[in-house]
Amino acid sequence: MNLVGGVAIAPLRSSLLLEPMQDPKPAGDCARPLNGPYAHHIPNVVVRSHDDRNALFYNDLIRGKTVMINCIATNNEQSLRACANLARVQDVLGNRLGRDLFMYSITVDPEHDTPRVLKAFAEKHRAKPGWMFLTGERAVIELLRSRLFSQVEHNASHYQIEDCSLALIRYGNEAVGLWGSVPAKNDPMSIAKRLSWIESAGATVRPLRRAGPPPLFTAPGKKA
Amino acid sequence: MNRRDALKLTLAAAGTSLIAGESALAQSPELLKFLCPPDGVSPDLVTRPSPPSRPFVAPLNVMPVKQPAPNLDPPPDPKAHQRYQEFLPKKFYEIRETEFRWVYHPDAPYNVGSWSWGFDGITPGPTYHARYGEPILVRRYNTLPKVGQSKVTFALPRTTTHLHNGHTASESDGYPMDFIQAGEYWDHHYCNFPSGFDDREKLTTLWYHDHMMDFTAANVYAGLNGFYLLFDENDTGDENDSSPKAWRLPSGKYDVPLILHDVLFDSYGQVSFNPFNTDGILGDKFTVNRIIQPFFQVEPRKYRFRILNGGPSRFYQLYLSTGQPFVVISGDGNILPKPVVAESIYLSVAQRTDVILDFSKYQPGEQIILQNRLEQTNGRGPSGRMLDPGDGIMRFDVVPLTGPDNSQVPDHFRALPPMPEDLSKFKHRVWTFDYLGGLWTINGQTFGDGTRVDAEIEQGTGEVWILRNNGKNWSHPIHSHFTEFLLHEVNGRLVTPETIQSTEGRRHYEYESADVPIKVFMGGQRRDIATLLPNDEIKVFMRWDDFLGKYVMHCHNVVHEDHAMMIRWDIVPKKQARNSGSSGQSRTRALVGGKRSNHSHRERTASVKGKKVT
Repeated sequence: MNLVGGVAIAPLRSSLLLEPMQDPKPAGDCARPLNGPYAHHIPNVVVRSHDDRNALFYNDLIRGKTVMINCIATNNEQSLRACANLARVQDVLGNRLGRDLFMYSITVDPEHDTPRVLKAFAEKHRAKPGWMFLTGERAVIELLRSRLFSQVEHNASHYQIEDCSLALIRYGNEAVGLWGSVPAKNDPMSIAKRLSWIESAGATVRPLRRAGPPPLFTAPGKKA
Repeated sequence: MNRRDALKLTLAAAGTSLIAGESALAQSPELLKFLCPPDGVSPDLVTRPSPPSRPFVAPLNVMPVKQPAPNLDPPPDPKAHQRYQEFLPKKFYEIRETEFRWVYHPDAPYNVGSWSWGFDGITPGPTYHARYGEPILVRRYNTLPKVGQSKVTFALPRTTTHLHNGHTASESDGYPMDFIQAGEYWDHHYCNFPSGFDDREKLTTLWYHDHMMDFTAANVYAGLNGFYLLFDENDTGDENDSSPKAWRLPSGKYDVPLILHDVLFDSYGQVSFNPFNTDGILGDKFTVNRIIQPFFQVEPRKYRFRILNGGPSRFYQLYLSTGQPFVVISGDGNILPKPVVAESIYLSVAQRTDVILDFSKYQPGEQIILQNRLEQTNGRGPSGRMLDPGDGIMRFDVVPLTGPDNSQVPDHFRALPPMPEDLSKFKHRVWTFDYLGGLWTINGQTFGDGTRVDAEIEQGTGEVWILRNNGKNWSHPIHSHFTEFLLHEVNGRLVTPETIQSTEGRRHYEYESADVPIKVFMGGQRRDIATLLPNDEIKVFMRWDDFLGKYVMHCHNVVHEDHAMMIRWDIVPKKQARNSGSSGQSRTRALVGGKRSNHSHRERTASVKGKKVT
């Protein structure tokens, strides 16, 4: 609907009619791919993958894609559990992983987690193409972590000990600019299902369909 | 000089006030850290502030009253609702979730409209006027554009609406996983009767808002909320009511709901939302009913304002610029036993209060500003400092009286439900709120996908819950659905029906008689938000009755909620309850759906052995 709501602000409608809506994100003249809504926020820094390739984090890995991002440290017990779970998530994603869905696990321990260490870690978790383990300069990692996970001061003792955001997955469709968060230990199916929530879709189909609530009683063997 | 330079510091820990200055600050290293933005990433409102706008130039938006539909086609399914035949709807409503441009302010760039979501083309949505004894059914259509089609990009067009404070059956309560997609609708059956048919359980100011799993903050920020007001034979909504039972509170155009949101805008006037912030998001534009710093023309007479902190993460402490106190008549939708006079109102996220403001002493032309003086610099909670004079929220402009003021404020309202004398015989549970691994946790757990049952509660019973904040640096406004908190203790101090919780600064509570004007109103004994400031522990008594099924308790800093600070509790038939921590794959599966892998809104709410559910 193309309304300007609000009964008490009706006089404002006339000004709206006189002024066409500005393009909120001018595209510019060049033919480069359009940045998504969070290009200003997500660092476009150089990261190195477990297969020893460099990439620009935003341009190469995020822009226009649907992704899941989490933090790991290969010698951290919580990360082991999270990645074991992500390994099950990648099985659910099937051949869409690496095609239009991507998983990125960023180490928060870059001094230890070199590409070689990450490669072994990836193999341990049967990582398929499309699930990348990323490292980089310490400053790069800190920037990624602070922008994507933690807005708090790094010198607060509580966070220093416990907040590597190792239990959290960000999932997003940056082509749209739609991002959510889910605990890394959730059921793999429920994590994978999140990606279907944020997929771009066609126009709303009419007539509108009843979705609930479902009947309280259902005859045995009969689908509600 | 920026706002920070103009701060006046109120040091409350010692119960004294200090004017800001080096000497005062030097005395407390603890306070020094509040003077600088945190290391790391600066808040968005510092690095990318909203475009400027003139205060008090836009009129207040007053939402229209929602009107019923003659019927629903197709009709509701009686088998889909508990106790449907007992509470046959007397009115039907149809409401549509829609996308539209909303003009927050007449100045550029806001004047072109900010893409928003709302109900029936407006935000906040229309206000329901409901009555006790008059069940209604609301059919909510999700007609939002789908992902990729929507101009609002940060919110998810899958929706579930919770009637906050409502004594609502599970299937109508807006469970986070009971969501519908664009192109679908859901029927909400609101029975409008007090818990256990006890009049003392009645409520007044409720609100409805989206509760989508992972996306509550984004969807409410986009505009999906509104008011739901409940009336009865006392609170009739008619100040001229001749019934001896009628309280005759200010009514009609003198009864005005106000929902506060702080919003951040980009340079094009579009609403800006940071989904990578786990702590909570703050805006730098104060809106009332989604208008930036509006003005409202008032006559020199009494008004009833229903003030709601709509979030997502900011706390408020509200004052009037003239020093006039508020006459408080309710906290979180619970009518107080008697009115309380308070110099200021403290509202954590989702808290509400109904106040009576009498402008009769003012002359036409005079102006009164509603101010927030509680400083908050990040999403974790208030900083502990007070602002002077504070941020202007809205302005009341006095205009000539147009008629007699027949409204009244009774000396007494109604008693609260009683606290049992001996709580030891009731089941106790402890819920500890903490932070771990980048997530907000309750008893070390996150919500998961909503299939784990954290507490099974026998229908018709009461329990004692201890809500404990393990954090030293953050605050959590805790909300549990369906039934109210009856506070027993706050940090070991007894709460009585006459107690008004009051806080000055960060750590100091004081309790005073309701007869004595108080400095800060933070809520009475009965409410639906237990505000846990750092290290707080609040002991509450709760009673569950009337329905079965799954519900949630969560932090109402909705960013914390979306980072999984939420538990599921189920009401189960007597003698079938087990201890907390059970799996959804249990005998409660037959009652509340339990674990499932597909759309959980198809979960059954269920037949109940030995109890007729119609």
